[in-house]
This record gives sequence, structure tokens and C-alpha cells, in this order.
Amino acid sequence: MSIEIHSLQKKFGPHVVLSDITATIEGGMYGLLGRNGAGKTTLMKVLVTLLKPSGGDVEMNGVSIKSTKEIRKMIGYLPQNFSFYPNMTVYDSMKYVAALSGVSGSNIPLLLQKVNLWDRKKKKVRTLSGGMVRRLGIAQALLNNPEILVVDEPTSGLDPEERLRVYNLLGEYAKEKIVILSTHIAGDIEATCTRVGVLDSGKMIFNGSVGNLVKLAEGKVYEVIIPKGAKETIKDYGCMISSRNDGMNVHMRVLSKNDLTISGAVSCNSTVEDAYMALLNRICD
Amino acid sequence: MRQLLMLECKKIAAGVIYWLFVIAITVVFWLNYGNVDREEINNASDTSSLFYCAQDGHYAVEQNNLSKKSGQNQAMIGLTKKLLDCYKNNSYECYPFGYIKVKVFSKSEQNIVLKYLREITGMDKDKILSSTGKTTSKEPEDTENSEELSGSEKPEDSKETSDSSEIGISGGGQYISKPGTGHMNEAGQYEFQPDEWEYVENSSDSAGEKEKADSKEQDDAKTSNNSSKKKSSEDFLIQVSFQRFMEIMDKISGMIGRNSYFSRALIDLYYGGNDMENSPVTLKQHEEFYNGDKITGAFARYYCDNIALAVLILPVFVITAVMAGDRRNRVMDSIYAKPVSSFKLIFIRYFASVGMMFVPILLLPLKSFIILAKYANAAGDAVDIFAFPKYIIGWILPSLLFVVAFSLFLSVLTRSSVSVLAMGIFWIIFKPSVGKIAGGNYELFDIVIRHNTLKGFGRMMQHFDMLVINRIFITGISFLFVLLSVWIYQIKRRGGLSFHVREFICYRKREL
Repeated sequence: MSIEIHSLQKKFGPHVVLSDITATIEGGMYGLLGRNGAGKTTLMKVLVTLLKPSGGDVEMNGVSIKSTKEIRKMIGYLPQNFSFYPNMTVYDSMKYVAALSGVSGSNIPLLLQKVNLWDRKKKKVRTLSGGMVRRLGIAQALLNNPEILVVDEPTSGLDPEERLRVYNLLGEYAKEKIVILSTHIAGDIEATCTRVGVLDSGKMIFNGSVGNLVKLAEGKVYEVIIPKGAKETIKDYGCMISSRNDGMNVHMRVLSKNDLTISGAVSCNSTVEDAYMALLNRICD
Repeated sequence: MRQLLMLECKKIAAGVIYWLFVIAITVVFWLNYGNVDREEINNASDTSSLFYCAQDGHYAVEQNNLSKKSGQNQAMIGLTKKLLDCYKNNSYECYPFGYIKVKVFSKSEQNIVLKYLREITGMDKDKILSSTGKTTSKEPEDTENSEELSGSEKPEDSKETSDSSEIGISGGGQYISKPGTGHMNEAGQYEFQPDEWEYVENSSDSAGEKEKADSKEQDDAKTSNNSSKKKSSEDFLIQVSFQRFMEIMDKISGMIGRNSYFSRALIDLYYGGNDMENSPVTLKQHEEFYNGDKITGAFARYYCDNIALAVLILPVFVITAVMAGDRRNRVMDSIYAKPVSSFKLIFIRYFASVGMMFVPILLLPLKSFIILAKYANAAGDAVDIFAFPKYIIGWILPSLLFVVAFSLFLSVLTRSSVSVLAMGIFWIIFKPSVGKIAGGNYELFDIVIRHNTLKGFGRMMQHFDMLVINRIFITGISFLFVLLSVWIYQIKRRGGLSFHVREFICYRKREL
């Protein structure tokens, strides 16, 4: 069970949106990180056959994405802005997707129970909250028991509790299958994924384990406490990741390619977010 | 497949647009068809009702057929009077897209009309201008009615016909209508059977007859308070043959625009048959109604006509809502990524939409069928119990299939509600011309078939082959559009034929 991406390219007219993407994705949860417009959604759409690649190829379990029908049978997809027909009931929505997927839908009760929507099976979709709709989206994506589940920013707009619930669901599924999820929240990747790819301007600038990504920023992350007025001067030394005010002073997390010589600067452990920022700001080697 | 079809139907039925369609088609039905069945039954004693059964077996005589001299003369008189009226008021009506349009001629155009009027009537400009202009704008109908009324109970109107009983033609002779015969029937109605027109040379005999007719007119003028002026001013003689007259009409029609009163189609409609609502029933029509239509057939045909124009536009809203619903509810990507084939999905949606819209169309005339069946049962007449479904399937369904298919195609192609606008334009352009409302003159590309009269079974049967070819053709074209929709949908499912605005904006932002 694997996805092989070879020199994938996607252009919209003269504009190159994906450039020479090569990666191998195996079982487990794979995170796609990148800022808005980096090409995450485009890559995902290519993977789920909604967009034709302009160059290169993708193989899923040895099947080229040119064979759309076979690929569609083995994938489940939750788009970024998932919604469903508001006048349909939750149960009918699942039955509708089952009919589209060519499956009987015998697993609908089980899936609705898993996503905690069984009690609302007779409710119309329009009465569901944003989090519930997202869970319905996951349930519909899992209906045909796909080998590969592609979820595009599944937690955007959700409260922390719903986010956790969604990641638990995906994590459980990823034990046996491939789950590809895209997000621009690095913390989510750290909590859920084993492998990660970082996209920037249509190029894959990192592809590997989360651990290796974190290592990229090792020794380059510092915590600095400086007076409020001197906040701007930090730009001369490195890239600011985060800051917190405590009245007189500002606590800052800073990425620096070189040793930070400011008094009070303390080197600290790097995170996925640090590494991600280091990659995007070309602070890594 | 059945499950998907059922769910699509359920989805359509859950939408507001569908119920608005049902309400709209019901309103159209009530406004146009309404209680025509009851009215026709209640007026069974009226000679114009199809339920009229003459006790003595005497029905109205076939008349006004343009292939007969009498009909030709009738048409020439009526049209000349109408043209005089139009000329004097400089107001020429036509129905280019089914709606009335009044055209005002320039001086040079008026001169052309004057030239033709002089040719037709032989009158000079002053006489033309002083001739009556009091004839109404519905002159052709009035003329026809006056003819038919001359056979019923309106002696004053029938006098108008007698005014027109002398028509001069080039060649020195003239047509003279021989006096008809009339009698009271058992129902207490006066029945009149006009005699044939006769061509008479300008001999002393004819002159004598003319004198007689003149003196009769003078007598009538004395007894009638309001007709003396009118009669004298309407006294014109047609100076041209029917062939030349029609050539002139073609030219005038060309000047006015599509579907003027002087167009061939409208001349045929008003003067070519006996199927106007108020025309008394002929024996042929009586037999066609009871033996051909078996009562319900006539009403089924009339029902189909009454909802035909609604079928040409209303379904577009339903199918557009179905297709636009994917985009509006952001389910497009979810559906696109499913294994279902585009062929299956599009055809199922197509049939679900057609089916859901067909149900109310099929059920609406049920009440009419029950009324007619009860009446026929009481009278011991046979009815065609399948007439309504037969006509609805054969007559309306192809139109519905086409409109839904074309709208589906536009919706898939544009992924927007522009299809509603496009169909609106389509409706204006392809709405059948006024000349087709009486039916019979079918053409291959007619999307809807008109037949705005309970009569005319014979005319339909006369052109039945063309009707069948048209319906099959329209059905075939419909499926072609559905196949095209499948093809476009398939391309779009893989991101083709789309300008990716979002991706482009993201790219531009990144570039900046």
C-alpha cells in the first residue's frame, strides 16, 4: 500500500502551481504542510483525480491516476469546504454517497456511530453544526472503506474539542490505511502524523519523518526576553516565530541561523512549527 | 441505480423550486384550461359546442376553406377591410415573437400600401380615406364570425356578409353569393346554409341582379339605424385575382414583419377552416369528436396545448436548481471524486428531473377526465380512457425532455444559473408563432406543438406523420444534449474546461 509521486507538475495556463513533486507515501498518517496557496489543495485534487496533472505521474498501489475509475474506488476524499445538500437527512446523505460510490451502505450505521452522528441520522444537514458537518464528511469519505483517505484541512474552523475528535478518528483509520491530510497548522501535524511533506510555492521542500523535520531546526531556536521597545531589533538577529507580552517585557521565540548573541537568549528544543518556519524562511542548511 | 434515482427524486422534491414549479404549472392549467370541460358540456345545446348533437342531423356546412372560391372571397374582403383600417390609422399589428407589436409606416411605405389598396379596390386615395375605418382590429375574426353568425341568430351581422356578397374581380365579371336557405330547427335555433358563390359576367343579367342587390341594400339601410354609412363606405370591389391578392399580402406582410394579419399563416388560421372556438360544429367535426377523439382526445390535446408554453420555460428552473445545488452546497468535489460514472449520474439526474416534473403534468387533467368520463357514460358515448396519458406522453413529454436536456447541458457547461437566462431567450425565439396556434402546420424543429382548439382532429391526423417525425426528432435531440452534458461533465470532473479562479488568485498573491 503506497503512493508513488513522480515528477508531478500542474500548470494553470502559464502558471506553474506544482513543480516537479516527487515523493513516496506509505501507510499511516501523512501530513502536507504549507502556507495558503502553496499548492496543497491542488496536489490533493490531483491525487483524487479532480485535476489532471500537466506532467509526471502518480501511482496508487501500482495503479496510475490516469485510470480514474479504479483510483476513485480506492480513495476517500474530504474536500476543504465540505458541505452537503441541506434538505437531506444525515442518513439519506450517507445513502446518496453510498449509491454514488457503488456500495451497499450496510456500514452506514457503524460509521455514523463512529463519528457520533447516529442520534442525528434523521436530522437535516442544515441543522448540523460545522463540526458535525465535518464529521459527516469524514463518514462519507470512509463509506467505501478506501485504501487511501485524503482530507483537506479537516479541522479548519473547528473548536479544540472537535479538532481532537476529528484527529482521533483519522488517527484510528490511519492504523491500517494511508491518510493524507493537509493543514497549515504545524502543531496538528506534530500531534497526528508520522511523515510530513512541506510545500512552498508549488515545490516540495521537505519530505520525510516528523522527527527529521524537527531536527532541521535543532540548535536554531532561542527564547529571548527583551524590553517591549526593543522588539523590532530582533529582526536583525533572526526570524521571530512567536511572542508573548508580560507587561514590561516581551518573551520571544526566535529562529536564528547563527548563534544568538543577545544577552538572555536561551537555546531551546525545536518543534515542527519551528522547523516549518525555518524551512519557509530558508534558515535551515 | 434505483436507489440513486429514488434519492435524486427525493432531493428534487425537497427543494422549494420544485414546488414552485408545481404551483406554477397548476396555475397555468387553471388559467388556460380551467373548466373548459364543464363549460363545453353545459353548452351542449350551442351549435359551436362539440357536444352539440343536431336532432335532425343537420350540422354547419364546411366553409371558408381557402381552396374554395367562397373562402377566397371571404378572405379577400376581410383582409382588404383590415388593410384599409391599418392604412388609415397607420397602425399595423404583427406578432413577431408571439407578442403584439404595432408598426407605424413611413410616408413612402404608406404610399406603397396605398398603391396596393388602389390596385385591390380600384378606389382613389380620397375614396380610400373616406371608406370606413370603423372596422375593429379583430376584423378577420369578425369577418369570419359574421359569416358564421349569418348561420345563427344575428341578422345585422349577417347583413355585413351580404354587403360583401358582391366582389368584383379583374376581367369584368364578379362573384355573387346566391341567397342561402334558412329554417328554425327543433331546438328553436335558426340555421342558415349559405349557397355557393357564383361568377357572373358583367352582363345585363348581372347588372340586373346588382341593381336588385343595391335596392335590397337600400331597403336594409332604411330598416337599420346604424348601417347605412358603413355599408356605403364599405362598398368596394376586389379588382384582382386571388393569386395576385395573395402576392400583395405577402409583400405587405414582409413590410410589417413576422406574423402580421396579412401573413400566410394567419390568413390560413382565420380563413382556412372551421376550427375557431365560435364556429358552429360541422358534421365532420361531430364525427371526429365522437369517433376519432372519443371525447377525451380533444380535451387531452387542448390540455397539452394549454401547458405547452409553460413546459417550454418552467422546467429550466428545476433542472438548473438541481445542477446548481452541487455548487451552491459545495458538494461538487465530493461527488466528482466518487466512482459513479458521469453517464450514470447525469442520466439519472435527467430522468429524475423529467419524472418529477412529469408527475404533476400527468395528474392535473385527472379531474377533467373524470368529468368527461361521467358525462360520456351517462350519455352512452365511448371515451378513450388512455387519451390523456397518450397525448401527454406523445405530445408534451418530448418537449419536456428537450427543455430539461437543453437546460441540463447549459447548466453543466456554464456551472451557473445562466441557463435560466439562456432559456428565457430561447423561449422568446422558439415560442411557436401565432400562425401555429390552431395546429396542423407542424415542422421538424417545433419544440412545442400548438393546438389551441378542441376541434381539428382531422387536421392533426392529416399531418400526423410530420407530427410523429417531429416528436421523435425532438426526443432524439434531447438525448443528444444529455450525451453532450455527460461528455462535458466528464471533462469537468477532471478539471477541464474550467478557469481555476481560486488557484490563479492564490498564485498571483504569492507572486506579489
